[in-house]
This record gives sequence, structure tokens and C-alpha cells, in this order.
Amino acid sequence: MNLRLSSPYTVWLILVAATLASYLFQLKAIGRHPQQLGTAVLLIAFFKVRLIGMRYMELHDSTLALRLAFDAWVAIMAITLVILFRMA
Amino acid sequence: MKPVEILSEPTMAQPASAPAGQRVPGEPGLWVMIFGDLLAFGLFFVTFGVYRLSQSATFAASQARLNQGLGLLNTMLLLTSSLAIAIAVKALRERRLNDARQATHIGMALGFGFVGVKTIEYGEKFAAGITPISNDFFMFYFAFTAIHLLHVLVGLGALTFIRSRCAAVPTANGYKAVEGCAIFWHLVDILWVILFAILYLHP
Repeated sequence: MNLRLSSPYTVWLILVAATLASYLFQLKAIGRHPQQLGTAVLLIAFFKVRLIGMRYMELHDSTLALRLAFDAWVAIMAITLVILFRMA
Repeated sequence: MKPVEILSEPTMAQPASAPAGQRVPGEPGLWVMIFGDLLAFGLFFVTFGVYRLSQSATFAASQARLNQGLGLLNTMLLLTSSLAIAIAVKALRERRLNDARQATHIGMALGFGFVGVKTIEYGEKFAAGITPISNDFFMFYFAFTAIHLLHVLVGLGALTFIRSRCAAVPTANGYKAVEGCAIFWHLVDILWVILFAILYLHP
């Protein structure tokens, strides 16, 4: 198995590990404040989103405009949701 | 020019390639739809967050009634399906048609698995008397996941198209169409990753 980030298998391993980490946070396996856990869950989700976009959608070597548009969506959504969910 | 060059091997077309940084995966017009979908779902997520501000107790109690295990299973199914389709596209570019076909079959089977799990989950909810009119949380839950499920079904149609392109080496335009279908399938994955986080996991 090719373990470079360019390998789809490596990307999948990172995505699965990140998903399991989020699931453990949800189970409150570590003694943190719910707001901190929630922020971690959201940030991990958007990390996964960016990884899927850059690697599986092949945006990593696409035009700058396309990459910037996708990154802008990811950043705006992540910041907005983290703020909204922390305000509740 | 020799006649043999004029008629040379239309089925052996290379995948459309451009230097790194100048490439647009799939058809350029497809990205209008992809970003339109991302913006629409972005509005859905923000609306959910705004409603959650004034009903945090209701949303927390309702979230506790979701089946996190099935949500996790569905996440794994879609992530693995995305892997299979990424492998299929790579195999098709390298003209390994059998590998591309097998990977597409796996991707489709996992996609159908997602639909099956979602059906079970909806059944659980209805059996427990939970419906879209139970409260705002479940209104969002059913609306978002149903719209996403519709995307999964359209995506399965796109994967069927990829499967149909595995019979012979595609033309340059054929590669673009395959890339586009794969990109849509990965979009389905992206949307679910966020739905899983905000509906099932966020404490």
C-alpha cells in the first residue's frame, strides 16, 4: 500500500481515523467541556471535508480560482458553525 | 500525413491532462452545480445553527434519540465508497478496465448499503413515533437527510454511468464525464460528513 498523501488509501486511513476520533469525542471519552468537544467535532469534520475536496475531488492540482472558492466555502462554514454552536 | 495517423486509434485517447495548477477536474460547468449545492447546504447548516440557539435543550434531547452507531456506519460506508471510486477513476486513467469495473461495483454496493442503513434508521424513528413534526430538530433531521438521500440516489445513477464507461478505454471527453460523476459522488460524501457532525455528534 502506498502511504503517500497522494495515495487514495492514505487519505481514506486519515478520514477513518478522524471519524473515529470524532465518535470518541461524542462518547465523552475524554473529560473536556462539551463546547470544546463540539468545536473539535466541527473542526475535524471540516478537516475531512477539505481532505476529500483536495484529494478525492482532485482540487489540489486544479486552478487557483477553484481551490480558493472551495477553501473559502470550507473556512466560512467552519467559522460560522463553530461560532453559532458555541453561542447556544 | 499518413492515413494510418489520421485514423489512429480513437479508443486509445489519453485522459485530458493539463499542467498542475491549470486543470479543472470534470467539466467546468459541473462546478457551478457543485458550488450551488454547497451554498444551498451551507444555508441549511446555518439555519440549523440559528434554530439551535433558542432550543438547545430540545435539540440535545432529540439528538440523544438518534442512533449514533448507524450514523457512524453510514459515514464509514460513504468514506469507503469514495475511496473505491477514487481508485476506479485512477484505474480507468491507467486503462486497467477490470480494476476500474470492480472498484466501481464496490463503490455502488457501499452506496446501496448507505440507502439500506438509512431506511432502517427512518424505520426506527417512525416505529418510535418520531416524525418530522415531532419538533424542529426532527424537522431538520428528516428534511436534511432526505435531501441528502436524494443526492445519494442521483449519485448512484452517476456511478452506474462510470460503470458503463468501464467496457472500453474512454475518449478524452469520456474521462471528463467520468471525473464529473466521481466528483458528484465525493460531494455526497462531503455533505454527509457535515450532517453527521452537526446532527449526530456535536454535544
